[in-house]
Amino acid sequence: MSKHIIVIGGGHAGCEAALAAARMGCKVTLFAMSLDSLAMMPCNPCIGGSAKGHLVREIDALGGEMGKAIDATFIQSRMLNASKGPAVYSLRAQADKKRYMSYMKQVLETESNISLREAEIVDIIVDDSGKTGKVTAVVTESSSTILADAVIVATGTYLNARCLYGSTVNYNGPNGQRASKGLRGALTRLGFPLQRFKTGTPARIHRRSVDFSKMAIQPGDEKLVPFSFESDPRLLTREQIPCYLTYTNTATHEIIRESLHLSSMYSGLIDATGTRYCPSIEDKIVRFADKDRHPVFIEPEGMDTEEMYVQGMSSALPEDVQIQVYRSIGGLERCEIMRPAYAIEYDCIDATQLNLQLEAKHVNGLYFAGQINGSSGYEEAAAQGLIAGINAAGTNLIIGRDEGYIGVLIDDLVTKGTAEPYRMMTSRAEYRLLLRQDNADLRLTKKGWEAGLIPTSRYETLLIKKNAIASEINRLSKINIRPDDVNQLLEKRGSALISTGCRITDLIKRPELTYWDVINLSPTPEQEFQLPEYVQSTIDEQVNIQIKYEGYISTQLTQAEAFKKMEHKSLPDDIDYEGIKGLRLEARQKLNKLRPVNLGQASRITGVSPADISILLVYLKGKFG
Amino acid sequence: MDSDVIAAIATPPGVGAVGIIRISGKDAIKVFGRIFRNLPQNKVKSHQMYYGHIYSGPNVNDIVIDEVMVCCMLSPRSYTTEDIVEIYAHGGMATVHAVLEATINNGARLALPGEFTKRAFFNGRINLTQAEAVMDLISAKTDAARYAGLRQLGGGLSRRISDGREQLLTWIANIELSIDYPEHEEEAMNREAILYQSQAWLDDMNILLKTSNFGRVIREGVKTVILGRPNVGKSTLLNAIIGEDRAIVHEIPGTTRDVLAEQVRVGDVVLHLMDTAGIRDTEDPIESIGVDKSYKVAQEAELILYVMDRSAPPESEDMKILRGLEGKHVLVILNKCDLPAAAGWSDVEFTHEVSAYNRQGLDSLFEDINRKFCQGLLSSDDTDIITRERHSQLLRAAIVCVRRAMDELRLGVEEDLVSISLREAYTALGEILGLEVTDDIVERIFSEFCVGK
Repeated sequence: MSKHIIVIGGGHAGCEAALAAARMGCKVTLFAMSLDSLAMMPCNPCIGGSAKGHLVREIDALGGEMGKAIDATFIQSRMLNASKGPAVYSLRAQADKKRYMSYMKQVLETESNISLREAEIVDIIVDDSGKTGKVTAVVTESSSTILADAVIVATGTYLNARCLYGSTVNYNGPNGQRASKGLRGALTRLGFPLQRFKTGTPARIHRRSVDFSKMAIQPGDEKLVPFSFESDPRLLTREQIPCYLTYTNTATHEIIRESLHLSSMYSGLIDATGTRYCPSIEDKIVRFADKDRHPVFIEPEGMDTEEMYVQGMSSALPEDVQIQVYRSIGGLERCEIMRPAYAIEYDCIDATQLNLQLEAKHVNGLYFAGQINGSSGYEEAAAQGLIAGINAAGTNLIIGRDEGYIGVLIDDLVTKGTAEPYRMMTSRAEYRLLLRQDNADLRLTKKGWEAGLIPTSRYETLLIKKNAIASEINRLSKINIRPDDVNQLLEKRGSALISTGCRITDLIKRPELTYWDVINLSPTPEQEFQLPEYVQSTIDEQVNIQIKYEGYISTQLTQAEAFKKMEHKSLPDDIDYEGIKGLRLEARQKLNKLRPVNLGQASRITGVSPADISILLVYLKGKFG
Repeated sequence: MDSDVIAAIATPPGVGAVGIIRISGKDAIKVFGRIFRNLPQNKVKSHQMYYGHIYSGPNVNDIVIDEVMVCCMLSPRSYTTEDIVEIYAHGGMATVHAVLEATINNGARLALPGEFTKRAFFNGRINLTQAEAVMDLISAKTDAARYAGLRQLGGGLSRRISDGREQLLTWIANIELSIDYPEHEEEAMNREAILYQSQAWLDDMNILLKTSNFGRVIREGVKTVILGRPNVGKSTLLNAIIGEDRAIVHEIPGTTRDVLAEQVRVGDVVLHLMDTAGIRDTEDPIESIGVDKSYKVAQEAELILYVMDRSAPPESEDMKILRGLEGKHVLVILNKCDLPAAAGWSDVEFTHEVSAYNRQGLDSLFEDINRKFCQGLLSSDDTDIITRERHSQLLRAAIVCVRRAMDELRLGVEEDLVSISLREAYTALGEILGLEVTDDIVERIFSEFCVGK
């Protein structure tokens, strides 16, 4: 009989978790407090951006849904950082929020292994007769007990949530949604101490009240790059809606400064840990007092609504002050606020209580994903949901830090924990030249196929693509170009002329040239590969990047190899660190508490030094040969 | 297990008759062969002594560092079961230190605390009980070394490294800001600004590398010039110092017409001695070239031994020349003190009285030279010396990375890749200070820039 998996919460983590487990053959029941709010974006109306775009492509490469959902529903798409290096190209799309939600809801509804249920879960039942607990069931608000082989908690920002602005306090979740109240007691009882995090969202204003002539327009890209490796860009063409850029000014800052004491954040109403990743406008004025302006982006929320999101202006000031503040900004002089900005407080767990599969170390079958783990952002949540879903379904899947941003994200959360909402950034990845958004499929699709999430036909296409890349690189590495054939081009590009024959790959490596500049100097390849046209263009891109950055890439590959060595030295789970001679006290305590699975993970724990790792190595060898 | 070549000083700190440097690893013999010419590379005999000189490197112009005995212990008949070379050098800490540095500059890396024993253990040479002692060793040594990094770098030195590192972090954070928050790109420093600042950074770190690198004195020696008017006994002094008749000594003024170079070890310091033609106004064209050359050599020298003849009355020309040497390391030597002193010397300032002919007073001269150039080098704490070597290695690595980053900036290579080079430099400087990288970059972005939705 197939496993029954319960997912608590229908946000971005919950949706991916449910879909992954169901597609892998499990029976899934997804509980949401409102089925109208599945895959809701209660804050910014966009998916992707730096590092987050990488996550979405990785989710897609593993067989998740987010990439396809945004491809189907975006209203603007841009490739950011196009001049800053291949590893940091980042895809960002404005979503039509409503359409994104209905797309995702319908995908869930039409997945035969998923039952959607509207109910609040108030308790989790654990069989604690064994050494490690085992989750057995959940209890709904109407006291129904539903049995489960695994439970994935993906409550987002709903757990004991409070929304605040000025002196107004609403005991509800984001967007006026009901907060989840019952689960807090259950989690505390099960041994999960909770911490209180805070984030916030700006006001929504009416499109007709904005004077766009005073703002800089930001249109979408003409050449569209899809998030999903399975989307054909030619089919994505649509009318794109622009965003607009304006700035705060000294008058804005003056109003804020005078009313600071009225903000829930400065009046003492909020004491949760805020985030530096999305500071309120009050925080910006206080922390960066010398800046005389901050950028403000006006972004559409969808095709079927006049509401616009005011990025950069999150706040917990009273509503009347918010109106003054917003109206002091160029182009917003007459703006009508439809929904005020607010701060939100919620409970989350300490993710160091989880293993790399996102399962609680002390309760088998109990998984956590998304903002409950201390992360922030839709993409971070979806990535965790996907991994929790796959592991709950029974396939052991861990993405290494050298394999994907998903790996960096989860390893950071469960190894170091986080003291504030965690946002994915490219700077967090040690081997980011290997973890590019363009090669997520080459890195991860095999794993998705092995887990049963990627259909064999898609995997076979990938294998052909891989072959085609290798064969083209190999072909080019043997082609010599004569000076006469290329010097004219070199001169035009300001690149040093050549006096003897030069390998075409060496030309591609020059900063002034690309694969596309010189490819017509080589004969047409003899071998042809059967691939859809849009896959073909991604091959050229791979060939260009892999040749051009070969030196850098191979350096990072060497570093990653050294890194992997440590990841392969596993630590048995019954080690008594207290008993190991030579370990420093802090290291003993941390290691005993976190119980890392291998030496690599141990070395990343704050408070464990390289010397401690040396000692562990010696200990392991002595004990286990 | 890794088996890259590691090296360390095996004898206890302090000055002894002999200092032992140990090298271990699969390629230990190969690495050693680069600094020792007398080894039959392919037919080295195990457990047999060889005699020869340690050179600073494999090239013809590399200098001799010490005269040593050497014993190779071939795998598996050694402590670590890898190939081991033991070098028995002269016992001054500075000499031992210089030999160690030569091994490192030629392919070995500095062993971590307890690493030889660790290898012995991993290769099955010693058992678990012994291995537990290894763990004690590692933790004890590491605790000591943790503070050594900062302690041995003088306050000013560590501050400058730390400032240099901060500067790198600023550039990295600026690049990373524009990558992770493209909407705030305009707030980030551009390539030109970083390029401009990095030139000053390079200058500063290069100076630091020079001053912090005490080992350089040992490795490269001190350029020393013996200067003085004709016939005051410069060549005799040279011969006395090197202990053999190298320069032509003659009573006729102006016998030495060219600059003679000679290397000699004086205690812990190697002097590159240059005898010069006597300085005086001359009309002999051949000698005149020699005099010009002497002035030039004096300007390049790091140490000047200025010789005067005490048995003859002082000459005002000497005072004129000495004034021209202000700002240089000058030791003023009154020679021929075996002869009765002439009148007029009581008012003259000098540092040494010697008789080069009788080799009198040389010891005190040597001590003085050592004091001048080896201060701070003769510490008796081995962690100091180890970390110091590591430091110049790391500082050099950081400089190489920043140079590469500058090239990349100039060539228009993408920021992402520049950031990778800068991060390497940042990590290297952090290692000097004993700091881990952790979340510095992210922290810096948020402390310096106002970003977010």
